[in-house]
Amino acid sequence: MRKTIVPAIIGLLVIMIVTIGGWLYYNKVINNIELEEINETNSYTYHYVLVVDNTESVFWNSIYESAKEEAARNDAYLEFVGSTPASDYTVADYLEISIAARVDGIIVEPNGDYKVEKLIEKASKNGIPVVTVMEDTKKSQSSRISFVGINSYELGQIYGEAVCKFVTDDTKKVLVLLKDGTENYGIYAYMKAAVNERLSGQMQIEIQSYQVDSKISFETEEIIRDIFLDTDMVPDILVCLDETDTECAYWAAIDYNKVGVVDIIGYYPSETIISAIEKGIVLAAFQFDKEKIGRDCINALVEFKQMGYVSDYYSVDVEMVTKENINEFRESVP
Amino acid sequence: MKKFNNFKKIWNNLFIRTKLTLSFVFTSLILVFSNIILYSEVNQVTTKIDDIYISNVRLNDLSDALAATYDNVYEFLNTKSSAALENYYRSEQIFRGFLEDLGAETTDNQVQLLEKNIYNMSVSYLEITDETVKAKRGRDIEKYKNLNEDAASLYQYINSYIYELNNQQFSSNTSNYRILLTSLKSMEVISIVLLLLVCIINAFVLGIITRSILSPLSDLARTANAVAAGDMDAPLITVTSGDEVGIVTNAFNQMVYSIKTYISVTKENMENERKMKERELLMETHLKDAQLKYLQAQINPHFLYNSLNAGAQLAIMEDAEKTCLFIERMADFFRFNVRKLTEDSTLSEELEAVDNYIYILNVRFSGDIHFEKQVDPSVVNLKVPSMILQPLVENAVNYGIRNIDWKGIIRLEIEREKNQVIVHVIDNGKGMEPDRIREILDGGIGNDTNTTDSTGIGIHNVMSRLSLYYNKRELFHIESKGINKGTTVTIYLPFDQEKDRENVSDIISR
Repeated sequence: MRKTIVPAIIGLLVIMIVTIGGWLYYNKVINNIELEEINETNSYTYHYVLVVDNTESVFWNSIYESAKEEAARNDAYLEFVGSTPASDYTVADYLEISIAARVDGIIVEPNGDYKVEKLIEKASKNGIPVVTVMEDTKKSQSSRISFVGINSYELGQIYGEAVCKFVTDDTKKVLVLLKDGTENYGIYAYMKAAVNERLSGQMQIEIQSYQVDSKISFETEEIIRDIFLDTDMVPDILVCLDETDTECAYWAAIDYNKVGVVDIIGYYPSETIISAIEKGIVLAAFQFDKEKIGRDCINALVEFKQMGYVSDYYSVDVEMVTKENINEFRESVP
Repeated sequence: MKKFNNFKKIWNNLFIRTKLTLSFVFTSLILVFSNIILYSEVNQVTTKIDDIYISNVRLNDLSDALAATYDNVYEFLNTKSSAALENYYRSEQIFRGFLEDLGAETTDNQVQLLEKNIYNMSVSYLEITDETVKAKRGRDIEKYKNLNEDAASLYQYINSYIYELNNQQFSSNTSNYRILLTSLKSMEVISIVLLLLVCIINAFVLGIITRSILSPLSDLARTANAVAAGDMDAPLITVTSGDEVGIVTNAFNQMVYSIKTYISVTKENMENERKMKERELLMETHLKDAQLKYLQAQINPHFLYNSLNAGAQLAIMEDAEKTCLFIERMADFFRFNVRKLTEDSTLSEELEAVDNYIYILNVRFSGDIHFEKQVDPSVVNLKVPSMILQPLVENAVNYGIRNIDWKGIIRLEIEREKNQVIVHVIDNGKGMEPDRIREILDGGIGNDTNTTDSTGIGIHNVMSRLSLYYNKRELFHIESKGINKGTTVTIYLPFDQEKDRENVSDIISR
């Protein structure tokens, strides 16, 4: 009897172990599904939005990362919205959405659109503070609480300095690509003044501007290629005030065999631009302290919330990246 | 251990029917239990899948409610009908109801953030529609036109956000669903293993139970076969269970025991009968022998005692009274001999025969024989085998006091002692040596009936008949103090064997 009872009991135990083991394993799997959602979630009191023209831009993503960290430190979450190749919504649409969504603060790069200016006013009216970044509103009496970035004058000075640095005896023509309806024209004007001031009487350099319509898709690239194809228009130095423009010019220079003929002064040193600088195709680009931009945007909102007022302008440090300091730059940027 | 033994005891005492039912119930319970667990797990999965996709379903409902609200506002603005207004309020309520399900918390989770945005946008949207409706009622055409435009664009935004949320939820739901599906696969393996295990264990348990039920049965069959083959000494089966098999086994054991007892009783009876028959035959032989001897000696006793009777009548006619008496006694003596040899007699009849014999001898030997007797009157009716006293007295006359120089006396004493009657035949004659006594008792001597004077029945014949009659030895005793010192012959007649004697006499008379 004992001989038969023992295996039977062992069998029952095995059944129990398999059942319980299976049950536990199964519950673990099921509970994990819920845990995944909960674990990754942090709650915040405030909700800010960063609205930009192109959410895929490396530059803006860098700013967003630092701003997001700073926001998290201030018990706020920063949402990053803006046009993507897949969406039809513009900065204005996102501003409207953010207002309707009753966020606690908006950081926006105005693109010169009248609707955007209006919506910034609307947001302020609805009690949502707005900080402009990199570009400021055109209206002098804007209700935005603060501007984080570099103003047209400073930027013009920096570009002027760069142009002066790279002009040679052969330099006859400098072409500046302008986005229509933006602040760029101011930059162009200040840059021209700066160049003229520095090179006063020494050289006869023709500085021209060229409007690039950014409203139509792929238009920028076509216009830039047109410049390279038109022998009358091909400059000695091409100044780009935009990340995309810089890259387009770079590729066009290679494609139309204008390397060494057209020197490019770029805007922001993205990966492509850095390699272009190394190759000597792009002479210089301007590195903004993106972390500080991000931090300042959030600090402006936080300060405004706490104090009710905030500094009207947060200045941005700019560094010129050239072939000489490209290695240092690489080291400083992970 | 004690509990286990108790359980074993209870189990053994259950009927097979109950045992089978219990084992069936037990194995079924294991199956049911494991199935319940499996089903509950499957159920959990189904609920989980429902949970996963319910968010998508809810969003679709929300979207529908938003569309209904939008349509109703549009309808109202178009027609200003009270029905449309009513519909608007109803759909607004429904929409608000769905909105309650959305989280309004700021988190870094994209889904939750979208929910929050949708919630706030919807609230804004509803405020605008409310205002639009108010403006329409107030006929502020410009205002409600503008507001409606705002509402329309907001409606588009909300819809696109809902679409976005739906997509995000669906993709995260799908990845959850994949995890669940993988776990479901492993669940399947576990389930199959579990079911297989349950099947194996069930088969094993059933096997054990069936064997425990059937093994006593096969034991029983084996023993029954052995008994049937005639091996009555086959060991009895130990009954361990109280079920049907146990009952049958018990009955079988009892049957074997009864058969054994019956056989031994029958054997004993047969042995007894055989012994009895033997005795009977011997008795008959001895009687026949005695009868033959007697007939040899007395050619025709009937003729003799009839002749003697005729002689007696003749003596009376001649007035010879003494002669008459003598002849009468002789006639009586011979008649007794003839009659009594085939049947039992009583002690008194035996005494009468002795008296007749002594009388005859005294007439013959002119009163030389002195005979005395002392008899306990309470035993005279005791039934005894016939012709036992007279031969002893005859012996005492022939071998004891004949030819002695002194006065021969024969004394007969009959007394009762406890369960037996003791008969002494004492003479003061020649006596005998112990060797001779032994020879007589061993049957070597004393059977000599050819003596002319003898009535024909020897002492050995008496001895044999007594032991056959009573089925006992040591009933006969001879004692003598030596030559010329007389002899005492003693016989012991058992008193309480009335029945036995009757039986024997029946057999003899048959």
